[in-house]
Amino acid sequence: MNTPRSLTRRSLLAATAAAPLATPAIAQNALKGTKLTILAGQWYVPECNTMLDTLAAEIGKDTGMEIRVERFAGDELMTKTAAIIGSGRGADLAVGVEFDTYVYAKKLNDVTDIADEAAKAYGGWLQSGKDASMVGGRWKSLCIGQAPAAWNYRTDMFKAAGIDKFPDTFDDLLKAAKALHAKATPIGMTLGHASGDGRSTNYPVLWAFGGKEFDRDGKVVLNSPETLKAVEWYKEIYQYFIPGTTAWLDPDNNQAFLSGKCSATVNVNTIYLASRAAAATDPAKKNIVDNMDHGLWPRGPAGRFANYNINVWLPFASSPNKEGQKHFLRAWYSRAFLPKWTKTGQSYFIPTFAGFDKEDVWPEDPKLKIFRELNKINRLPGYSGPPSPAAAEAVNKYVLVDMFAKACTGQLKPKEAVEWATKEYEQIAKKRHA
Amino acid sequence: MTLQPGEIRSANPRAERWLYFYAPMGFALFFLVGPFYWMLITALKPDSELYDGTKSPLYVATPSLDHFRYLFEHTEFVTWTKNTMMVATLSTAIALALGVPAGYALARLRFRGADFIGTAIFVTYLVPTSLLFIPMVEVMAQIGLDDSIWSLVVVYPTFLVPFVTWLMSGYFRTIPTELEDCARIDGLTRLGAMWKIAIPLARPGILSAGIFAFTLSWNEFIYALTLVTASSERTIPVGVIVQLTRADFYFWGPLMAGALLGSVPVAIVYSFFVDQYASGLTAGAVKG
Repeated sequence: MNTPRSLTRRSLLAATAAAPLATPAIAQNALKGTKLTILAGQWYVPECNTMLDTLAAEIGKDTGMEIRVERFAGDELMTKTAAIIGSGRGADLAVGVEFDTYVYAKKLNDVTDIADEAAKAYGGWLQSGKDASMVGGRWKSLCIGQAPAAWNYRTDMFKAAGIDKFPDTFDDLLKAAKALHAKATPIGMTLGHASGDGRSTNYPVLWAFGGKEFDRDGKVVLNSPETLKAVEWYKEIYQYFIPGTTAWLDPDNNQAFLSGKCSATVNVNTIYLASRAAAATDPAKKNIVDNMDHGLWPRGPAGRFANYNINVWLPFASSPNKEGQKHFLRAWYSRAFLPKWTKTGQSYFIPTFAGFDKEDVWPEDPKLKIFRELNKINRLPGYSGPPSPAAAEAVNKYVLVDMFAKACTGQLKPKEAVEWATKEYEQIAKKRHA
Repeated sequence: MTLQPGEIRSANPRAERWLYFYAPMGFALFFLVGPFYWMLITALKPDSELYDGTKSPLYVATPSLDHFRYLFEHTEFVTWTKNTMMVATLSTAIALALGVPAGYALARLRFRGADFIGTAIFVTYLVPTSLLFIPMVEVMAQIGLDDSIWSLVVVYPTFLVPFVTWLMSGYFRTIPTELEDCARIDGLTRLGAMWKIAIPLARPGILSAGIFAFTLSWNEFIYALTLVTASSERTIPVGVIVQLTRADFYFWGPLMAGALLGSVPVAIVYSFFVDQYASGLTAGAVKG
């Protein structure tokens, strides 16, 4: 594995000196004495955080720019970003989520030139990267990467229930859930207000059955026979879940899986990475590492879908240091940095470039190989309509999650749950279009 | 055994004691001490036990101080504690210095609009911080306090002063005005009567208001998150969350150790002044 030590000032300068993503010397001189504050989250792989710090320090040495990286937890970072957008003070660049791009587009700088250079360097952007960062044909943010969520499952528990491989259809997943429940090793899907797992677990179910929130013109089309089928499937499988999934937040499915109480759940690769890191000293974790694997989402009547958390760089328009922003972003997407950062992340966050499929950025661990495939099938909330503030608001209000949860818990009948969610969507769309 | 006049003998005194004393007390203790017990055992459990579904969650089999060690060696917990202490102490002092005289004025002085001002001050306290934090960031930037812990010392009194004023105006109303009238007949000014008569009598109320104000500023989250960026200037509630969560992974042991230790200063403040705090809370409760 590459470590942050492999990123040296010399290698960074050598790489940024060669086009594309070259940094003009005149700009470097102009940056002397300027300041750049970057807000970042806590990415799960610690080395990814360290590499960002190292990159910032090297740029500081190179240009004389005073560059500072401050960290916040994911949900807190969103609040902090809202304060910066509202007040115009606090930072020059921040790690955001894709919704921030189109909600705050007017208050972000145009970085189309850097996006084009990066596309040339890495074989073009994947559609999810474009959807995450483009508004009105211009790049208002730059996609850092997406965190593919896979089915994490216990191979030993599946075998004990008579299942040899992870189910490939939703019918088979239902049968598997029933069999695993009978063996007291139930599965669990997040039905709580979890900002990450709530969406990555539930949107793929809707899409796989052919349901959609919006059509291509942005009209609400949730109330459909396909959505109803998805809700009915969910209601049926819910009875075989581990108890408590309607209250699950982002860390809860990790804990349930790590404690051996849950045989399968939808998550990024952090469960596996955490177990692998602790396996040398903790026999229980070693047992999990030896007996778990990752599976693709099953195929539904409409196909196989997935939804992941996306991180983007938000270049605040309020920043007095636009050149500093661009200089940092060029260094981030440079060949000296980005492929190494990606490989270090072990497919936890994967940049959305088509050419990365052929790059040496993929983990060697066979249990992480599937993430290369998963990287290609991400859809953003609002699909098949364009990404929009309305779709973002629906995610933040957990409308889709609550639709499934209300039906699963019997609070509403499946048809009523769909009608309730449709009304919520229509209200959001009306407000956003007003 | 002979019964005293007015005494009614219970058929089963032990059962009654259990029913009317121990059971309600146990119920209250479960809710009040339960969270602290949970924090303590989670902080003392090694990770291998914390994530072992076969072990009982109610006790610790192999206690360890590793999580406390991690908290002190791998985070800036000591710095956050100092910051929190400084901010809470100063903002409470400011809130009391402004809120106590304001409460006295609202309770005693008869001027046009006194009732309206009293209500308006209370309504100010009710405005949620989630609505105010963005304009407040802008205001702090304009006065040159953006990204500074001192902004919290300025901002916290904006909700503490209304709270203290409202609490103290109620408390001053429970003190008979005749005491101050006598003092003024004896030659004291209005301010002198307030300082020498009303404020000493209102000490339990001032302590209650101070303890509440201290607790509110100790636990405050949104302003502490949005007004301060530098890690070295954060308070405990923000610092702990930021450094002890990584993506969807929560470091429950150190988190609980931080939450437990973070609540100790508030508990100490309460324990020092518990008698006066209780009398402050119940002031006027039995007044006819």
